[in-house]
Amino acid sequence: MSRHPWVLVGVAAGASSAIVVFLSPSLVASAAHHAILPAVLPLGFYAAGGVAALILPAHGVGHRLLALGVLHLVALALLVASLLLDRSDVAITLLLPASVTFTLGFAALFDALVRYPTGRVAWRPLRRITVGLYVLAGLLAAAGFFGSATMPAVGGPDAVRPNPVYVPSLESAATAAGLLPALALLGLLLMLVRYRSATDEERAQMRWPIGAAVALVAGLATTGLLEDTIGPGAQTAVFIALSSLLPASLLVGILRHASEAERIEAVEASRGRIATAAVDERRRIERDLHDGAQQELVALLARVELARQEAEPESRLDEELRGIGESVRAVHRELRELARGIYPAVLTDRGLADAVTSAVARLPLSADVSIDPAVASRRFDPPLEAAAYLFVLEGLTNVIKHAEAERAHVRLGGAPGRLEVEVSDDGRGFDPATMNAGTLQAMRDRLAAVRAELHVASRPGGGTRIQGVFPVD
Amino acid sequence: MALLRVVLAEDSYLVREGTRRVLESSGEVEVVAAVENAHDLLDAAERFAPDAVVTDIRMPPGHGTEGIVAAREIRRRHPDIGVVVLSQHADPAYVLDLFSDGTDGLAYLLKERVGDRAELLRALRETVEGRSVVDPILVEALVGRRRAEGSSPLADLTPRELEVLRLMAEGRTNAAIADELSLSESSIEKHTSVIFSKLGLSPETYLHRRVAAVVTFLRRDQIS
Repeated sequence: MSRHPWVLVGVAAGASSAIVVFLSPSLVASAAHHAILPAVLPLGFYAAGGVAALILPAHGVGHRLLALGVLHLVALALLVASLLLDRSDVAITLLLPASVTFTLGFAALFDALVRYPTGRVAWRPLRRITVGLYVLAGLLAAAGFFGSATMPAVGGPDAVRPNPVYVPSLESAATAAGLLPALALLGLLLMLVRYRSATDEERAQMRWPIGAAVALVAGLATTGLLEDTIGPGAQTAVFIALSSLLPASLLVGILRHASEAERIEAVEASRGRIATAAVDERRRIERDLHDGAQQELVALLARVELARQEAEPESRLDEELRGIGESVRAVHRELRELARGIYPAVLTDRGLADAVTSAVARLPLSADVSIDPAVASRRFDPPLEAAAYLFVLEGLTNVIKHAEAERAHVRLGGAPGRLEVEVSDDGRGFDPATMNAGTLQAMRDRLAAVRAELHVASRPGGGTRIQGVFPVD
Repeated sequence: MALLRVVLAEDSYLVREGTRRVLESSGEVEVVAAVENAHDLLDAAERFAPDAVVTDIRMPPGHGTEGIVAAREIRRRHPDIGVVVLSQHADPAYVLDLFSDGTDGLAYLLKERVGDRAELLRALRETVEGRSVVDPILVEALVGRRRAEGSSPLADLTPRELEVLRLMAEGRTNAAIADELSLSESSIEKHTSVIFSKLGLSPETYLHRRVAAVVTFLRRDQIS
């Protein structure tokens, strides 16, 4: 169970409230079974929220579903308890909190729905709005209590009693408080709005509660139409069956989302490890070449030079040795270029900014490099440096091959928490929609290995700009 | 002529011994110590007070740029010791790192110059005189890099002037440049004064520190 003490308090309060509600027919004759039916849905949320809080203690939706269940069960228990008291002026002390907890429950449901399925609020201002809604719901419920002519009650029409503390001027607050249950609907509508911009995985989870809500509405509409034929008992049964779908669907959705997120995290972590291993391997090969073959060739050059000293100047042997020296030097240069291609030492020794500047200078292309001072001398993880370096190289290679550009521009910049690497040109551009998807996808995949994102902006005749955005600590 | 007393630092035994023999067989150099890491190099520079040191870049324990750090440290502590850095890295970033406190008495040569005794000895003598030398391959790269950094006044130089500048950066005298380009020395002098004025360099840097001036110029605002 969650270490959060409020969860335990909530579970205990919910359980005791449920017991009060289910005992209500024997406690209070007038309540009969009237409190039990409204308790079904809160109990469903209570159970689903409890299971979610148990399995996913860090997830934001479970706690709020649990809160909804508890708040509504408490509200019902308070209503039942108020019936035990004869004096209506004392009952107020129970009915006022009942109104407040009942309304707060809808704010909790709204909060849960806007966080579904990730547990986080996707749109930042909404977090503040939600907090404000809790406060507003509490205040409106309290004011609305005084603004309604009758007191809240469970039971038939004969259970309704006049409100002894009725304040007619607060009637509009009562009206407004009466609208707050619509927050549930608003939460579902916002989910439909978010659906468009959600990831495929989030959409799959959103379909559960949306489907459940549609089923509930359809079920109620059908049974409503057929009420004369099937009777109110059947409608109640359909309502109970379908309404329990809502908490269940939310529970299923967040559990599936969590397991999917866990799987994705594992895949990303393993992809990161593979990228790190690949970079380590390249650096090792570069080091081996440097310390091994390249050094051997330098030693060989020294030996050739020494041998030349023994040879008669300008003799055939001297000429031969000079030729050998030239060949060894050529091999040495080739090996140096090979080692640089495998992993440039300057990237290891001096970092991204120097490596990019040097690489640009070597390309048969007129390109400017601009580097933010914050990035100029900064070092990043080797896999990130390697990915960013290769991104620039690949971008410039594409400029040379395809862009027919006059000029290219490389920019290394960033904001807190991110490194932006950009290659742009004034070449012929392309239509990203008709672009061979494979090229960009390969680039995107390599960036994804270090959790970086690719942004491409291009249009025919308008040049091209590709940008890699790398998350950094 | 007195023998140049040289300390050699190189972690590969084969290269160290090869370099030592190439230097000593010239009859102009005495290798007073040959060490295999930067720490021992600093020690030996202190203890033997050589005329010059020849050092590798990548050495134990870190296998990074220990040689460059040591070279700058030696120049800081002993301004009369010339330092020739022998490098496997044909990358201007290392040259700029080496020259970041100044260029006097420093040379950056590619390691393949071990097989080019004349060039190696020339670099040693230049650094002992307090001048600086950059391997021609690196001068090209430096010019390329300066261009990559954008808006370079180098763009104003004619191809001939660029050629003269490159030879100057290699530490050649006007006479040697004239020889190389088959031009008269006076026309080289004209070229150099045009180069300096195009690059906005003052006349006092003109003579003995001209390589330094060139390289300093190449390095200027490298990352703005």
